[in-house]
Amino acid sequence: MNRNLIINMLLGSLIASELVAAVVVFPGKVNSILAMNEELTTTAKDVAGLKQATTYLNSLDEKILAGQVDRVTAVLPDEKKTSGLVTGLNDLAAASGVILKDINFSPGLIASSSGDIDVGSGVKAIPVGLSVSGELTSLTDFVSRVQTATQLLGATDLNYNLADNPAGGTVSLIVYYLPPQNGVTSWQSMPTISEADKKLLGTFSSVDLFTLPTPQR
Amino acid sequence: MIEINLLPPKNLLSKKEAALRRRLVTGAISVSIIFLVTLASLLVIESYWDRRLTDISVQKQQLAAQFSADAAKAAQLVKLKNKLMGIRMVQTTRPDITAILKKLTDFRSIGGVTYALEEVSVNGNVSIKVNCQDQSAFNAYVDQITSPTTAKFFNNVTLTAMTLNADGTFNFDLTGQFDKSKL
Repeated sequence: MNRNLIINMLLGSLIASELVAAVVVFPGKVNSILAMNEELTTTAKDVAGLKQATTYLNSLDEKILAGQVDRVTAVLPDEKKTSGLVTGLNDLAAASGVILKDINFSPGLIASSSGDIDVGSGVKAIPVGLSVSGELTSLTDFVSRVQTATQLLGATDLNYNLADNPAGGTVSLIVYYLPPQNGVTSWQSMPTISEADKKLLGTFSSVDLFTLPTPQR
Repeated sequence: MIEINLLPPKNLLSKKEAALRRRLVTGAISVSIIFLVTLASLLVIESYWDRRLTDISVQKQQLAAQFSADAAKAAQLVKLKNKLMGIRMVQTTRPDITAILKKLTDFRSIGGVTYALEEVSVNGNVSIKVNCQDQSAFNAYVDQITSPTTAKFFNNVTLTAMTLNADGTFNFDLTGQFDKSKL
């Protein structure tokens, strides 16, 4: 065969094979680079978020945070605890000149969740009945104190009978609590304390139950 | 002037082949250069991206570990935020009969009127057994609870079971409803 023809064929084959290689190799490489770019963008966003979360966490004082949690837990307890409630209501009644004769938690309400009221956003409540005696003016003051006490309570009904001796009646309350929500805290869902939160926290200046006359409404 | 080509036809063909050869060589070199440059560029970019991805992944792992170390603090923060949200919600939705009780106390400021029984509900409904010591106390009381000013926040007033006692006092049952939004 002619030597020139062979050389020409080899050159043609080289060009063809390079083109084939380009078609086979280049799209794969380009796709790999694009995928890496996408992963890089996502990871960079994660890093920025993590950085923000860790920086924010570092800026928080552990003791102050624990104190704030204690305060809000006093306002909205984790559970249906009755001991502090009984003492607190007694103190409020005494301050208003009302005698607290009886506090009635319906049977089973403390031990089970049967009578719980689902208020929303995870908040629950239990009804509590109070039997009281005293002047209507004192009772009005008592209800007002209950409504502005540190722990969140709501007065729903009042029955008053002047004919009773001594005059008195019943007050229906609901006591709120927020059970702890389980789950792992991820940096994506980590909240921050806003100015409005700080302002609200400022209204709870003590961890003691029922000691604050600060209006919360 | 006449040109006479004395070369054999074979030499004429070699010229054509040489031209083809030149074109093939130029093409092969060009394609090779483009191929190699492109391949090298892609490899460099891939390697650079890979290095960056490795670096940033390491950074992410370090930050994630740092976050995990602060998990207790993060959990406290989430608890605080949840409580604040719950408190806000309760503060805006919880029942309150204080305003109704204060208004009822105002009604009692009229002389000669006593309440024998009061029932106050969070939806604004009240039920009262009223005792008026005389006609003028009764008139003053009824005038107050039915006045246009009172009617703005206290409606559906009914007086039932009205009794005029032998001692000149009046007893009656009063029911009505407070519009809490207007108190």
